[in-house]
Amino acid sequence: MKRLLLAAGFFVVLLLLWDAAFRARIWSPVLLPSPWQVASYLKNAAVDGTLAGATLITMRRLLAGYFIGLVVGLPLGLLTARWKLFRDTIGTMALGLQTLPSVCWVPLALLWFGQTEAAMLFVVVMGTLWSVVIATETGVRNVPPIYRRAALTMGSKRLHMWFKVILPAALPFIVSGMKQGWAFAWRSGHRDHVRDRCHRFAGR
Amino acid sequence: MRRAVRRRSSATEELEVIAPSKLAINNVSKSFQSASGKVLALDRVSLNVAEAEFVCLVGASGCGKSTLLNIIAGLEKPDSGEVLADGKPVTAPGRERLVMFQEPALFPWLTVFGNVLFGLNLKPNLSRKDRHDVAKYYLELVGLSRFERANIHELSGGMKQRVSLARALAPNPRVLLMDEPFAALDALTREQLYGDIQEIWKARRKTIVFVTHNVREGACLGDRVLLFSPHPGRIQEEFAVELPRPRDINSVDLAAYATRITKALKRIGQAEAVAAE
Repeated sequence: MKRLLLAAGFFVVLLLLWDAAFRARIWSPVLLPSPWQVASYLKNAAVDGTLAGATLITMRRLLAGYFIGLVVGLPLGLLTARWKLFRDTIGTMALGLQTLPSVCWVPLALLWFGQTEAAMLFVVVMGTLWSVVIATETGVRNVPPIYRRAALTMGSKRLHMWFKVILPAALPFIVSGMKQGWAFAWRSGHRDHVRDRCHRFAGR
Repeated sequence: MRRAVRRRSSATEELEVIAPSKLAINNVSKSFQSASGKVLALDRVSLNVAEAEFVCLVGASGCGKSTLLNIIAGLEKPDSGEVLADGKPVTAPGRERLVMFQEPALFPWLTVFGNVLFGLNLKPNLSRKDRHDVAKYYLELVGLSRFERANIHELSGGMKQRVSLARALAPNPRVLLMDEPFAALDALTREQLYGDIQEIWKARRKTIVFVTHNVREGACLGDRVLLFSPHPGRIQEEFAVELPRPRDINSVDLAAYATRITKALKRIGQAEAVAAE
């Protein structure tokens, strides 16, 4: 209870500071609107349904992109973990591309797909895919060899070994990669919005 | 009309005590490439193990006894020589020869029951119910029936090794290979397990090869104790332990055997093994 009050108090103070800054008229109201203006805008958007609609579209884009990233990334990660050839090729590429901020994909996406849903999806996928690939590879390569050996003696082989031993053993790594992928997807989603807004603002 | 009945082995059949294997290890050599050069882990080791015999391999760490165990299991291949199980050469791991490792090697994403079931699920011609009955039987045998739904991380070290034992026994192997399974446990738990393993061995009739660096443990469990020397790994001496079972690790007769074996160990220049005790 005390923690809750403290946290609430903190945000109230923050709002008051914001309001004070607005009242001081240091910046133009276009650049710094008052918190009440923002609140009433949000309220209107919620009432006329545009907020819910926009949220839905955002979530749909995010989830679709994230899902594609997972479905493509997991098998790619398994391939790079299993075969040197894939590690040296796809693995190296994933490492390189993962370091690229997903905003870098925006101009390319625009050139390739234009102002379409596909362009946004592409940016989200690029944001998640590579971290999933790398996490899966790391996870598989960190499976303690003793699990494999124990399973081998009990007659586990090939697909059974992959699905019943290696994947579950690597799951903690894979899940953390998925979380990171989700964070990246989220951020690239925001990037799309910012870009989208700028274009609309400038009359495209 | 008579329904066609598919041939299935039942849980009772599955739980029958089957004939243990005879092992023949003929001139097995194995070397490793290490940073400091080539290490001869095993040098022309030969050994015969009779059906249902309990053999202990004793020696200092790094004398190649675990390597020999892995070769018998089929997890490693010898450079030369061969291992025969009931006359057939061992070329790959198989559920006829199951291994119990020093670390429990249990799968943390499965429950206790799921771990015991793992090897059983890979055995063909068993119904789901049979598999469950068999798994329950072995959990009971190691005294962990109450914990079948527990997660692995909830168990103590001793309980983990009991689950490992149940998991290794469940597919009814002919040979049980044990690689210092009790080394990481406290003395009290270990003493309990010495009693249990002797009982289980008597009830299930397995051929057991047991690796340890603990002389007393070897004398307590083994029909025979084989002394290994390192660099290169060789079997130097052999002791038949002729004491009635079940044996008590703290008995005076056992201590006398252990003293004799320890003396021999020192003689072959393995004082460090004793110091480690």
